[in-house]
Amino acid sequence: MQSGSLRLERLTKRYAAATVVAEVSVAIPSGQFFSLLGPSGSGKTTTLSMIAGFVDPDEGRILIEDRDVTRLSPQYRELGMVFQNYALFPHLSVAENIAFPLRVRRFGNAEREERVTWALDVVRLAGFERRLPRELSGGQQQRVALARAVVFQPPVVLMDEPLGALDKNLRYQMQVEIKEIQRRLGMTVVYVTHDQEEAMNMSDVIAIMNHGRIEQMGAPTDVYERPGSIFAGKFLGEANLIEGRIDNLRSKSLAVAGGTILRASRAIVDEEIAEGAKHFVRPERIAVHAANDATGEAGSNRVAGKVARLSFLGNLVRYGVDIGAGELVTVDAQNSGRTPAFGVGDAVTAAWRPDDAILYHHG
Amino acid sequence: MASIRDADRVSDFDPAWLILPLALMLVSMFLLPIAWFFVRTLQDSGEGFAEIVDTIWTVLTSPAIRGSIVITNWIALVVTLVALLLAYPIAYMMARSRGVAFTLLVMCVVLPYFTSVIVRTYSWMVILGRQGLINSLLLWTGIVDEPVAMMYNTFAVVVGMAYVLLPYLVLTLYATMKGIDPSLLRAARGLGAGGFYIFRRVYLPLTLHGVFSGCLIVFILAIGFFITPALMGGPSDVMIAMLIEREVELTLNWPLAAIMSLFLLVVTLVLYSIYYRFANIERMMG
Repeated sequence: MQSGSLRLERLTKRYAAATVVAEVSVAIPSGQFFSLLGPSGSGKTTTLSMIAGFVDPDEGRILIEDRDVTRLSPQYRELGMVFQNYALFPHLSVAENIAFPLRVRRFGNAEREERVTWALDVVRLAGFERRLPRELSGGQQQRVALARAVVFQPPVVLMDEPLGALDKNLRYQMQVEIKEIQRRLGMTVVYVTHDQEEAMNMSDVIAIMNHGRIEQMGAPTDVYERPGSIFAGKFLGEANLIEGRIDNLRSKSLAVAGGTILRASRAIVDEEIAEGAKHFVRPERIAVHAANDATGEAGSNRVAGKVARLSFLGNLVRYGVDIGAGELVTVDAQNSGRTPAFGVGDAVTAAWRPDDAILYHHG
Repeated sequence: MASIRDADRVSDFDPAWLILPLALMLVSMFLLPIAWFFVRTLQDSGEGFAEIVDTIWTVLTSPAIRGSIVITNWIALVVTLVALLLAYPIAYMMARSRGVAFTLLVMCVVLPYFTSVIVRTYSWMVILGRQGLINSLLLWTGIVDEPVAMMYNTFAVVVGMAYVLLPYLVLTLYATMKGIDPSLLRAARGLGAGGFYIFRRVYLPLTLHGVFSGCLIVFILAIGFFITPALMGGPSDVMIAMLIEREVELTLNWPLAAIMSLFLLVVTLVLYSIYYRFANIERMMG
């Protein structure tokens, strides 16, 4: 597979007065799995459509392997594409669907057959050549679409929420499979999704989009552990954002209702905050102890509260701890069988390390 | 579930009864007269089944009627093809356009559909006649010295009929084209296909069942056409429906008219059953 690099330079798209994509710049090296993650209307699909050539950008450039394709018709961009609804040709057999890009490119019979067989092997659908798309399950149709996108070995494969129509279990299975195929073939993939788990599971790099801009870009762990904005933090998993006023900006400490001081390891300016500040910490980084229990690391943030809510989710127990002034802190405790269990109304202490916390303030 | 639905019902009145007036009308004004017509007139054409069949055979194979059957089928076929060639691009435009353009196109197609066939046929006579619009233009520009004969021949019949029947094809094709998932065309382009290739390999195959059912409708309607060929055709353009009318009105040979009507009815029903089977399959294919 001759996979290639993709570069977007200050890509911009406006519809009337609204700017749907604003100066998106990205460099995706060959072989990378790159995800555009964001809520609907964030501009991720428009960005993908511009890469594909279905939407003309107003400004900026698109380069595939350093070749400027900004004004090129989609027909000549040599990109593999997997669509949300698969877009399989209903009147063509599985083999003919996969052979479509090869026929367009006038491959000889022998090579065409060889490649179709290869692609069917890759997606583990050997033996389905003669079926029609409607005779396949959703997952199988998805595989055919994938085979069709990779069969002519394009430098970059674009995928637009390809798993959106599948149920949850199948979706996870397909994520693993697509990732495996991508790694094995060394494919460069641009993947659009609004599902943060999907993005984290598959991607080398995630770009979180909001209002047409990339809010944050990085490896899944980086973006998850060190969200650059409240939006990014909230979008990529569960987040506690405890309101208060800044106690001391140099020590990144926040005073919350009741006088408790919460310290963080980092302070970030976020324009979303009009006044005051917010203390960010992920639910799984918080431990709940009995109220009089003083265990835990020295220097930890400790807040007294009461269990106000409790959800049993199987692998974990999610507590809603009321720390006063209407502030409810979510805590995820692993259901390891060794942690103490609390009930609604129990007095507890929630504790977490400043290293796991971020202070967002309006600067 | 069923009990909830039963409780929802306003009364015990079975809505199937609502079809009764229509059924009565169809039976009394359509089915019974036809049956009466066939039975009465065919009785006159011979004693016993074998003799009747023999008469029918003799009639249908007589030169005049055989010629008319050939001409009728030929005209219907040409009309269908002409209408298809005209309708396909119009339907395509309709399926692709939106807003004002779409409304205009729909009006152009549907408005004539609501106008009387006679009016539309006479308009064509105005356009095609010796002193008609086209001939005046041709003479004025000096392209021809004498008016071109465009009326009272097969050409005029085909033009008139294709025009009258065009909406049926346009609307059928439009429905089919509207049903094509646009992402299929985008997928084809994204995978490297050019416009003509996409048309040949994706768009056309996906509209084929619309083409087929639309053509069948037009053909069925065309073989029974009367007004347009009667007004616009020449002496040789005698279609079956015209022949039937002549037998009934002029020669008063009702048995002959009945036999030809029966023939026309059978052909129509056979074609319709093909159309129906086809429409059914279509529905099964989703």
